[in-house]
Amino acid sequence: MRPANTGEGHPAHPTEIPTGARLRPLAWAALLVALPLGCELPEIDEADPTDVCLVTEGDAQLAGQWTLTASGTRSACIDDGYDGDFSLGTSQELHVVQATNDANEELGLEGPLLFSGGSFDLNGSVRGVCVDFSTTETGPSGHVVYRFTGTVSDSGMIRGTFTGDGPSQCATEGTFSVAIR
Amino acid sequence: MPRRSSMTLALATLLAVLLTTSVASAQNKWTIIPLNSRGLDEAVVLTFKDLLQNEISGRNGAEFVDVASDSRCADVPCAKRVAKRVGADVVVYGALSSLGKNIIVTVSVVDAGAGTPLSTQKITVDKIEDLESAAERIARAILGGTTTSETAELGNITNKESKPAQRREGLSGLGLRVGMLVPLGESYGDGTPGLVTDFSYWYEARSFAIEPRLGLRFDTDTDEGRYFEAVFDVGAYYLLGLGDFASFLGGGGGMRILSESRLITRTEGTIMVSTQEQELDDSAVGPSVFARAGVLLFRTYTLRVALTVDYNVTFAELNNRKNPQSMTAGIGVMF
Repeated sequence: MRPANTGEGHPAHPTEIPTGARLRPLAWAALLVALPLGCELPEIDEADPTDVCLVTEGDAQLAGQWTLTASGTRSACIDDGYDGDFSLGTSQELHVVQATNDANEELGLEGPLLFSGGSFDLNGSVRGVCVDFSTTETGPSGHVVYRFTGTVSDSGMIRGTFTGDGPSQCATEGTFSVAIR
Repeated sequence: MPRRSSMTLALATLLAVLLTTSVASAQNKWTIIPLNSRGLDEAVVLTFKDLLQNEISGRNGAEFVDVASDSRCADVPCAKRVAKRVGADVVVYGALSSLGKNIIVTVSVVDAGAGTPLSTQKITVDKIEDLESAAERIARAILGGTTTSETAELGNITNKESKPAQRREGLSGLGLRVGMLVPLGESYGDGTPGLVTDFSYWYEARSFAIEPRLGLRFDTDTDEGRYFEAVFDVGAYYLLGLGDFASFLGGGGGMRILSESRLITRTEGTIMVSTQEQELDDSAVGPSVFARAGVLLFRTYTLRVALTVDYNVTFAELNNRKNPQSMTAGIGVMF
């Protein structure tokens, strides 16, 4: 916004910077932060560059059959045989449902997922195109938790990073993608 | 008869029986028929006879009766007749025969009354001077009921006995083999074929060969499982031909040192499944055996070539897998 002309030929105070211009660097900074989140980046809302999750455009609908693939690294394991690179994936499609709870979009499994000797659960939330969810599996390998943070791309896939605990008390981290059918 | 007298008589009878059954009985009269001579000076033969008589009488105190110098015997009936004629109870006859560089002494002792042989002795010397020791050892063997070989001791070893026995010789030399190892099953880190290098000593006789060996085996593809093996063993083979193309069969055993790195895939989880490749290292030392079939080329030459195929088993456990097995094939040169 250009400074108003007071008619006396004096421009507005040189320290006054329009709001949009002041916030544009911040938006670019947010863009640089969003780069590790994947190839397809959320579009910056020119009206509100701080809304990297594009909340104003509504929450993404992510209910469906999820297939997750990931890769990462384990470290600091009690059994050092677990240390090193590993790949991760779902052995079956996960039927995920999305529900509104106190204005929050929550994710969860349609029903309890039990198997011989253990159980599996998924919980998360959606805010705009940003997705946070965690999985907990209790079984012969012990108690293993993964925490995923990602964004939804235009193609409907979720991409992001994850951290985790276990097995053998390993600290895990890596990247993931979820295809939703 | 009173009991004490009966006991005394029985003991005396037993003692008499024991004494009279011994070749070394001092009461027997002995005679030595002049020994036959074949290719030796008569003085040597007479001297040996005298030495033998002296050794026997010095040990058993027997009385010796002379026999006419022209008497000769080569069998028991003849000896028995001569002994009867001179009234001897035990008769000795024999011969000294020259055979090349050797002198063969044969002596027989006969019970003149029963006509039964009591002792037969033979000794071979390659020096006339050793006849003195031969006489002593024959006398001891006769009186001790043994053989001349059992009477050897320091001071009476003959020159011929001091020489090592002759042995058949074979062809021997160093050997070098190179080839390929193929792991069987999940052995050797489930790895790929590798190289074989053997250094050996090849001893070859007419129909067999013996080969002590030091070998090294290692993989050539480090992307798969890796392994290294050192072999210390001995093989023995039966050679099936005498020509330039001779097959052979055999085997052997020894010790092996084996180390391996094995890639395993580890999966965890049921719904969220993690997959991880892990490299497990292990090593072991254990006994081993092998079987071999091969062909020996240019066998009539001093430098030979062998084509071989082996089946190997090492009795050890690596990464929870027992008894690694392999096939090896190679070509070797024996110098």
